[in-house]
Amino acid sequence: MKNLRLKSARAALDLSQQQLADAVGVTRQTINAVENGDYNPTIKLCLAICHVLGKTLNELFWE
Amino acid sequence: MSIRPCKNKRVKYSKFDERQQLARGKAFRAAYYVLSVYLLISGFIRYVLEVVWCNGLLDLEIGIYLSITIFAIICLKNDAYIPMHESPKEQNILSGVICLLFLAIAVVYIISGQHIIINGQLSFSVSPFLLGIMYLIILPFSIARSMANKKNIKTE
Repeated sequence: MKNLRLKSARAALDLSQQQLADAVGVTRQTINAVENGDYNPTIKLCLAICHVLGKTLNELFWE
Repeated sequence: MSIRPCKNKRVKYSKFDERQQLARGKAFRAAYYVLSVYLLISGFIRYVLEVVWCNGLLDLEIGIYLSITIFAIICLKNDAYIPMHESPKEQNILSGVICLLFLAIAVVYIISGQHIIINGQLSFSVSPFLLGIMYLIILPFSIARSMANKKNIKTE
């Protein structure tokens, strides 16, 4: 299932997938896979993304 | 005390992210099974059917090249072949140069009259040719993956 909340939170900060990937220390493809629902990230990566985007885990990853 | 800094260093300079590491683990498992099955079939042909078609070491080498090719293709399919912060273009150029070098060595071997078949068996001289072929199989997958990634960035 696609994670549109992550995509919109990223877009709201005007960040590209590459910029977010660099900020959290992963590849652009990993961010793309998380957004498309192809990869289930670890809690460590979820937290890193939340910190960069200024959101909580609930806001971005809770169903 | 001496182990701890090393562990931290490894984590800090990890070349692959968590998704890539997972994908590489799966690719490694697939490659391991391919090598196992190849060795089983090869051993059956050599010792049960008693058909010796190549040098023993070359037989093992073919299995290793086959499993490396499988590993690389699965990694490429899952975007886990090229480490973070490394340019796919540089990797592709390097692979292309290595491929050409091995194929050139193979051609030189053939021109200089090296025997590819000795006593009805494929000899070890065919090794550079096999390595060249391995790179020749991996390279198009790598180029296709790089092109697909560039396209994805444009449509992001």
